[in-house]
Amino acid sequence: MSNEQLKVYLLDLLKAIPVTLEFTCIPMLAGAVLGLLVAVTRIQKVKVLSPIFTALVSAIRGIPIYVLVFVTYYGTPRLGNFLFHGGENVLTIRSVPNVVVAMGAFTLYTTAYISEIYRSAISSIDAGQMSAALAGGMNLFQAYRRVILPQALVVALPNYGNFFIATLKASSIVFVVSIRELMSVAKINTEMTHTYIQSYFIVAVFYVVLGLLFAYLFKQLEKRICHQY
Amino acid sequence: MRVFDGSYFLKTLPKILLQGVPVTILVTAAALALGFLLGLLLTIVKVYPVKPTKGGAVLRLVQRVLDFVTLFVRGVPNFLMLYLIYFGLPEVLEGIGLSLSRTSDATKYYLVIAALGLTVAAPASEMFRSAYLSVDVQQIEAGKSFGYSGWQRFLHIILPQAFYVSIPNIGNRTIQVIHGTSLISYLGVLDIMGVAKLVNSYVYGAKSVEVYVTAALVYWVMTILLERAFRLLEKKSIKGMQNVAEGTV
Repeated sequence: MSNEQLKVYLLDLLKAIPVTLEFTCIPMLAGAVLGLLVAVTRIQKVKVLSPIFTALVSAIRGIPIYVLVFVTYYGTPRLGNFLFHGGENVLTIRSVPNVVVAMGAFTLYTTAYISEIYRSAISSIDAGQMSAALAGGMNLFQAYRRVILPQALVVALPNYGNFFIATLKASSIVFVVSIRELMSVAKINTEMTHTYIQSYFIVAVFYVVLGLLFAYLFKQLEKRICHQY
Repeated sequence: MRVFDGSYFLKTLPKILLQGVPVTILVTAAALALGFLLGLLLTIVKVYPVKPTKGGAVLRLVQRVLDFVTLFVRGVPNFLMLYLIYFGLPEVLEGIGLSLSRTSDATKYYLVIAALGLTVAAPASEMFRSAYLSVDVQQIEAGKSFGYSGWQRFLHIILPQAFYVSIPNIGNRTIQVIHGTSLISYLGVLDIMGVAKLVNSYVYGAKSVEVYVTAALVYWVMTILLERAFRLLEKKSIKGMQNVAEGTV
């Protein structure tokens, strides 16, 4: 790579960082909310919903994210046709933007994994806490909000942090639906300059630095939150 | 048009089971074997006691470097590691005068296994280290007082207990590697996902949903079976540990 090419490459990578972060943070935030609903539904053994969620979580955790992206990519228009157009071939894979599909696949993925993080955290809280809260006259929602969750979230935070970094790395596969994040910028660059080692090594450094940065941020957050207890 | 064409599912499934599953299992097993072996070697160097001599200082430096390399490799996405090794390693080998034939199937498998093995080795070395550290120091001292040599202590006292501690981690890692192998289809290897892509191309993508859902189901079933198997193994070894504790063995 000439100096000029290197400069262009580095600039392209810098521009791609926000995209990678987008595909990490949005699914992680959506997963944090949806995962909580799934976890509580399963712990409270809500009729009909609980077994459905159990099966879905098991399925999504059993499928590689790469395959999940393919299934969502081709499955979404098919499902849309079936639900809204009576099975007519109205929607195609071009009707749904790739960003939406990739975001959807990643949100399914994070929701399934985060719900398991919550579930193990909530079940680590002593059952007596729940009994005490209910005996003290709280309803179920209050008991969760005031007693169970404040304790469970502290337990869940380290696992959430680890999974955040795993998702950051996993987000590299959205390039298969042609989204310009770090990995795809690197791939395009190698195709133009034919410098495999250099290009891939540089982008590897980007990923490592981003991962370390978030690891540090989560450590600080943990320290601050655990300090209160 | 139906939402899901069952007949195509039945057509795809045998192809994936006969052609794709063996490749996935083979690559996973090879990558795990390579990764765990490399990880174990890394762990031995990392936890080797440093003595205050000149050799000790060198060892300390090597340990620091290995820690850094582990940190780096763990921070790299699987896909990127696959690309780095698959395209980079031949470039490096050519640089030192060894040329690989990129078109041969065997080379493809070696490179893919090397890349996946590396992604296993780094976290595995950390996993083994924490398992090693979880073994009570008194156990090792007891071994010493019975006159066990260093290797005997490692083989008869540390390894069995550390292995038991590692079982759930090894199970998770195995499942992660199986999922990780799906990426090699992108490089044209005919694993589960690779066969699915091939079948999909026969009909020009008209049956993509059926084909990829079939692949997904196969992965799911494999995951469930492995989870069961490892839980069983864990239960069995808990029994073994209890027998040792009660002195019935």
